[in-house]
Amino acid sequence: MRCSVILLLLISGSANAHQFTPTYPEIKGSYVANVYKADMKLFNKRKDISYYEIQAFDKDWKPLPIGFNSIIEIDYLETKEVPVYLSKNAAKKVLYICSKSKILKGQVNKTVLSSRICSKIKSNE
Amino acid sequence: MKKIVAGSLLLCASVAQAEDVYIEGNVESRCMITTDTPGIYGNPTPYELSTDSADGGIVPIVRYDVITGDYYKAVISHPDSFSNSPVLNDITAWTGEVSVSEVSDTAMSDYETNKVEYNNKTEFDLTTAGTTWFSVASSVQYGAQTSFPAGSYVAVVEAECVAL
Repeated sequence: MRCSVILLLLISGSANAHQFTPTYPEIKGSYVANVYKADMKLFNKRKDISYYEIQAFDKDWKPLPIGFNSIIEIDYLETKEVPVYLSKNAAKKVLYICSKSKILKGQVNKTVLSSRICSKIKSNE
Repeated sequence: MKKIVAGSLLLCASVAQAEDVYIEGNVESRCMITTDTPGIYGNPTPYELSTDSADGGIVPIVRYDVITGDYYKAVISHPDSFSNSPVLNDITAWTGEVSVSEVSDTAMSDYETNKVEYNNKTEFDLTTAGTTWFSVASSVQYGAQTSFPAGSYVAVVEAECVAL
């Protein structure tokens, strides 16, 4: 009985990696007026993760709204181009654009490492 | 007829020329976070769970790879709550320690002494290109030495890589 409580998985699996580039993206205009974007690239080498959340933050790490879907579905070993759309106001304030692995509810005894990689907008520093 | 066939073959043969096949690659600044070692909680006493090997646990290891030094910092949080557990009616008291476990370059030897700790987070400036392994030890005690209810317990380690 006690054994059932003993073995608790914090992190499982091996060689699970997550990559988000570029380190210093640029904010550019998009095809819609007053909407700006940063072109990011997400690489998923985590077998246990199929979803990542894209987040934007200002210099005080306050979240900023981003356009379209903030949740990205991505297969194992897939690389995806991720355009991050921002309003004019958000584009002026944004300092960090991050991708964070999403752990599905009920994933008991599976990988429970939450990884987040943040790129920095140097021009807004 | 034989001459025509032979001529055709000769023509075909001349089409098969050597071609150079290019493989292109691009090395850019980036950070990669990898799960290296699974973590397991041991249960040394009915009211404690711990990743310490002396308690029957395994300390999880997280690996960071950076291509360029001084471009990123690592921010690693040890757990301070369960993401999944049986119903707990008493408080849980968490402790933890994030340490440099291994490095790929001797220039990283000061990472441990220069780390900054606050709340349940530890920050390391990744000043040198290469690989660093971090161990994330944690333990939790339940109530006033109250036994944990039987069941499965899961806690989350958060590993961040933030551009500087």
